[in-house]
Amino acid sequence: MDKLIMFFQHDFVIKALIVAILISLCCAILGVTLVLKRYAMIGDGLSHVAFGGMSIAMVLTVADMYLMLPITILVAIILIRLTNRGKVKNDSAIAMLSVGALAFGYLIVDLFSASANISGDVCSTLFGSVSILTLSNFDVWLCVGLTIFVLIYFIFFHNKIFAITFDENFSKATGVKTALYNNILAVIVGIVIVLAMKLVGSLLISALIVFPAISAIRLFKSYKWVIIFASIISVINSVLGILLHLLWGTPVGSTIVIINIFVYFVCWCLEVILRETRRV
Amino acid sequence: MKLKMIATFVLVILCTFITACGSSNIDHDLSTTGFQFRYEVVTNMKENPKNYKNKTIKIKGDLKSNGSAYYYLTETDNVCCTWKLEVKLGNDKMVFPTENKDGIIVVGEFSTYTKNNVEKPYLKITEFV
Amino acid sequence: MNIFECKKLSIGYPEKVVCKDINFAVDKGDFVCIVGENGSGKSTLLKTILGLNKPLSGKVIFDKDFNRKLIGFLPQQTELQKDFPATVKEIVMSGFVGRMGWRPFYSSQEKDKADCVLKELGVYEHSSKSFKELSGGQQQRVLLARALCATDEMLFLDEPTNNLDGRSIKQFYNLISKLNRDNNITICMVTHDLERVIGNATKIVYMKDNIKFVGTKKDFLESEYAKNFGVEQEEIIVINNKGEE
Repeated sequence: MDKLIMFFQHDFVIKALIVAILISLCCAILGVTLVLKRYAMIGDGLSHVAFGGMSIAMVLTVADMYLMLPITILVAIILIRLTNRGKVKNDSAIAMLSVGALAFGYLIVDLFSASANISGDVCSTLFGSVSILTLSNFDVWLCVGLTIFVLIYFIFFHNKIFAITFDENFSKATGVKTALYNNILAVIVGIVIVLAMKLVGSLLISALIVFPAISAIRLFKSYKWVIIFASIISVINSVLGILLHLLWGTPVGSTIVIINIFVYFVCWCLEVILRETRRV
Repeated sequence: MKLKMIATFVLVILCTFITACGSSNIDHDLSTTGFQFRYEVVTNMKENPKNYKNKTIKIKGDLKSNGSAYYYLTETDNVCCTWKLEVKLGNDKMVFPTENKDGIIVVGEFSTYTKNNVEKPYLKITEFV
Repeated sequence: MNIFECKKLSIGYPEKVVCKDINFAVDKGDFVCIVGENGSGKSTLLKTILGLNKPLSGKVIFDKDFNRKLIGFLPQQTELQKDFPATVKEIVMSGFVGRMGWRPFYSSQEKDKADCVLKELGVYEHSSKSFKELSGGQQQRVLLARALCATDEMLFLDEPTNNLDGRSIKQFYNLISKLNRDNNITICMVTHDLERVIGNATKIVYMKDNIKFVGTKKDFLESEYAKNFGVEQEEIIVINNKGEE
């Protein structure tokens, strides 16, 4: 306990927790929409694209957010607008962009980076071992600003997002501008993926998007409660992950993901228990 | 008699507190934390030096030098990262133990100096542990 | 009063024309049945009228006095929806979303109207239940309630009885006929059960490879196509006000 108090004396720990809470909230709410629309893997694909952007930034030694955000948002818009009617289907497109960006990113970092420990840098970016606790001041303000923007958007448009997620055809037929909302969703996905990279690293982002949502869907039958519960457990899992990282030295990303898996397992068991007791 | 006992008791407690306070004048003890936390603190020291200015830090690391009186503490983890912090001696009477030594613990005061208009952080060593 | 009109409409997809030169008009109070074989383009026609597909050529013209946002639609259910975690109330309220503009929250009038519609359709007691817990017939009525929140005037339905059993089908068509007759809601429905609804229909659109017939029910019954559907004049069953045959 005193050890924790010792950690909290450092400003960056408090900032890391605040940013982690905000990012987890965004990921949970976005995750519910993506999981229900069966777009869950888009997070994985985009995070690899973001890694590509970050590699370019590493080589040019500029702040990574300047490159990662526009590139990821652009690709997100392209992916969400793809229909399954073209020559390249959705899942193949995600795969192509994803591995292409990953390979390209690692290649240029290997060839051009002036860093002393390239594999360490790359590994750290992919798995988010310490990134959330080593944010620059610019990163902190950007993260806070963007997450608040995303949360306000979700609050103001939650009914429209629900309508489009549940039934896009009905929404379009009854006058909802579905194309506009889908484009905005793509931008938001791009932003949230880049932010989530700071918390759990590129490779593990899908966990933050998927697990809180599917845990909540196991236990709750109303959309409102799915969102609320997913948000709560996402925040708790991330905070716990950071605290365990501080206490035990485990990498932040993996710790948070393992906690998410464990919580999902608990929700699953609870669902089975509740179902059996209701039957009796 | 009873009063004397209480007075002695209070005095003993006070003494313990004062001496305890006296020895724990270290603001941040990084010698007992893991490598990752040291990396995180050093990175943030460079990002926000004003948060750590004049604070007493106890830290563990590998002492290295580039030969021309530039000494630094460092630690590396191959799957993560490396941190590096320049160190200078606190006064003229002090001497660096050797040019390179792994795993030494030092106590020092964090500060910055300016070179070529750039603020550079460093640790002013007050004690080799 | 005319609600919309299809003028020389060609429907389909960039690779394939499904149907050409469609011309018909729908007036207020009509009960239009779009019938035909599988693959003849009935759903595509409906989607083109609703703006979900682009016409390949020609136009769908809505009357200028008709508010395009006041359309109700009962699409075919998707796999996604069968497992979707949402309560009946949440789904029905989403019918208002097209009319809300930029307003983020539902008004109390909208909540009251939703309750009203749920009661009218006999599913009010399921309001807090999850959609996936309901039977097929109940689910269709919930989706109909959603469509009725979106409109008081014009309802489009795409094969609404596909997954229902015989008794539910009958109840459902009774409901639709009642909405058309008593609430004066214009109906445009793609259906496979022409013989069950022809009693209340006013216009028929029959599609097979292209438009084979467009016109009033009376003309349809006298045409050569009527026997394809087993609807000779004497066998018409009309559902009256009391829901009896």
